[in-house]
Amino acid sequence: MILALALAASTASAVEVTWTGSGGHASNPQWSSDGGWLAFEVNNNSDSVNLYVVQVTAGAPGTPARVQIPGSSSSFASGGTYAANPAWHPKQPILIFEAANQGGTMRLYSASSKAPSAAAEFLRADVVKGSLAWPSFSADAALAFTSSQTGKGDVYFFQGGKVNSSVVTDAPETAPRFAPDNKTLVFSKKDKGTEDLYAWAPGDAQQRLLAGAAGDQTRPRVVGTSVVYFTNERGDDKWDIAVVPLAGGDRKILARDVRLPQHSAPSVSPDGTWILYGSSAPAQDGVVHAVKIDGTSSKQVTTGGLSAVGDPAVTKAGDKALLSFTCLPKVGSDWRQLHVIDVTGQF
Amino acid sequence: MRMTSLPLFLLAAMAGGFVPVAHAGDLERAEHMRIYEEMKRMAQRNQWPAVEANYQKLLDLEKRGEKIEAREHVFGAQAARSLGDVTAARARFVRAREAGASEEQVAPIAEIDASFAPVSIRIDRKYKGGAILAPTEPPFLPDQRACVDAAVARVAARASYDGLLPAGDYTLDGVTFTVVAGAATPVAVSLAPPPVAKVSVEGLKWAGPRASLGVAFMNGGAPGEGGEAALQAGAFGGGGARASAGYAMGSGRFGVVGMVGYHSLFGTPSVDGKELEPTALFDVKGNSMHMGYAWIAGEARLGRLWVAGGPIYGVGKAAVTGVAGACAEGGGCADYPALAGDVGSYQRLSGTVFAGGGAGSVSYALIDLGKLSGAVTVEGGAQTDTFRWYPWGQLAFTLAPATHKED
Repeated sequence: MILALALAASTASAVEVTWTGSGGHASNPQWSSDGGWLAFEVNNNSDSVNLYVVQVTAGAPGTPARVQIPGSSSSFASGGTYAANPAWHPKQPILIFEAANQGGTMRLYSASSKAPSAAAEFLRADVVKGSLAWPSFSADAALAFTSSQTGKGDVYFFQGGKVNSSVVTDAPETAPRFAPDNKTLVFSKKDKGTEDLYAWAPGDAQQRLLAGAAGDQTRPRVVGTSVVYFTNERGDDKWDIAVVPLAGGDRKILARDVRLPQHSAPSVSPDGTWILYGSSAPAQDGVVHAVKIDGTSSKQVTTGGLSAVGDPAVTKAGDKALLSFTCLPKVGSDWRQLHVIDVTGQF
Repeated sequence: MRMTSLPLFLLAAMAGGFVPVAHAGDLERAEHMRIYEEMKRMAQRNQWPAVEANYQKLLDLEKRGEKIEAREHVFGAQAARSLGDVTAARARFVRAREAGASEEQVAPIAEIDASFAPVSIRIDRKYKGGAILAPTEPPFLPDQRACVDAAVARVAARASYDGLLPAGDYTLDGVTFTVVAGAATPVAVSLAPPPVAKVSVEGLKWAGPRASLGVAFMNGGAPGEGGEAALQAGAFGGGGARASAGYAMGSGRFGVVGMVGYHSLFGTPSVDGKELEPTALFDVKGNSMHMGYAWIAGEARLGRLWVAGGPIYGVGKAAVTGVAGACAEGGGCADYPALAGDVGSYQRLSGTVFAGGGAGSVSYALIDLGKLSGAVTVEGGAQTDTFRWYPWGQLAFTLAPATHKED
């Protein structure tokens, strides 16, 4: 009913982002804070996951450049390397991501958008040991991430040139995200075989359970006073987007049968009012869906006949609103492609 | 294998007549390959200290004729960058480019040039302040953080730093400077002790050597009461030189002086004010005295005017012609009847003098010689050996610690 009332179709055409090198599935596009750059992963389903950065000017993407981590001797010999899960610095065109060379430990790396092939290890092992993953920035540029240095996967902070541990438990934590206060963290913790959602703030003696239904509650993102996240409480392959108050309370399902992205949390419009997603239902997977965070209305962005749409990410770039997403073409492709579409006026 | 290559090399060198240069042999090449593989393995595991160590081994091999390849320079540059030596990292990326690396591989050069600039920091070893280099805001990127950390450590350990720093504001013991990315000219920052000011008399401590050299006179007066009881020389006197050296120190207007010196006297014998002339029977020898002395004094510094005074004690040898008149007239000389008349006047007497007393000086500083001042001094005093007094005076040039306020 609500869907029918609020339905709005976009007439803009999507622009495909093409890159050189080997083929692969594009996934997890992430916009820089100024909307001028887009980072995305390419997984060849064989031996590598590569990270690319592309400048997008007035909605037109340029030529993507592959992010190259030190220790890989050639940018064209990337077999075995893994680079993914990018997080943009909120104030500078700097990218933090998780990566590993073949046979190496997964660590965090940094790269400037202007020189993606000049990436460098972000935190050396003498600062924090173990496998590092899930980088995420606060609005004031503190970085949260996970480390396996205790063997159990804990959340750490990096701020002011120093690393501090924050959430250390017997169970592994993943996907930390900051709340707007730049202090409170929400994250998922694998407890008793499934992931549950927790919140923690400096000074808290205990983590606070936000959502712990059956199945996994994972990849949270704080939007104002609410936390949106993915849940498969209905079954392994049935992913929904839910929302729960950060202060605690009942969860509400916002969208059902969504396409679960590779790494990212639910996508949110720049003004924090819309949650965007792709549908896993074949009849509805040719558009980008959006639902208001309070669940009062929804709409769709058409893509011009593309299919299996997923990984939506929307940004404000100057006076434009740009939406990126991955999808399969109408016919004849083995790989998911990345597209950018102008959605000015819609978000 | 290596044995066969050596004669060939020598033969070629002799035939060509050129100066031999290093050429790598099979051993070096094998070692080169091993190091590269190790380097690559360590780089893939982010073991940058190990990568750096292997790059240094490659540099050693290079001296033996091995050629370092572009990919190895890239590894070396990545290691240096990770360890905070961005200056070395840039140089190695440049070498990689020269060795044929792709533009993508040497992209960090542009990144470094766009983010760093050269800085030259010097801290004078006499500087008493702190030597803590600190960025106003810690940089975010790892190579910039590492570079700053390395520079901070270098400044703390060696009081200097020549290399790159990331753009931003820094402080060095209160001195603020800004590094602008891409600047070609190094930002020069130096800390030096404040210039040595001409010290003011007020409240300033002073210390240093003091020396004095000049002309002097001394008079050995007639023996006083009791002197007639012994065989004594008559009054004598004369001019000579007086030199002394020691140390002066003080705080504010007042100080102390300690000096040791030498005073010489040369004079003409006389009787009743008339110069003693040689006769057919008697020759005449001049009077003389050579005295060493020690003087300690308190000193007041009144701007350029210095006034000192204190006790003095001297020990010397004297040789005088003429016996004291009282003795000759029958006092202590009663036992020496042969000294009567002219004999007494021409009698040569010598002995040791031990004489204590007091001395004072007034100096006026005329010139400044570094931390010292040169002054003209009038000095005088009187000493006694209990038989007679030895008044003396001196006009001298004195060097002593400067204390006056610069005019």
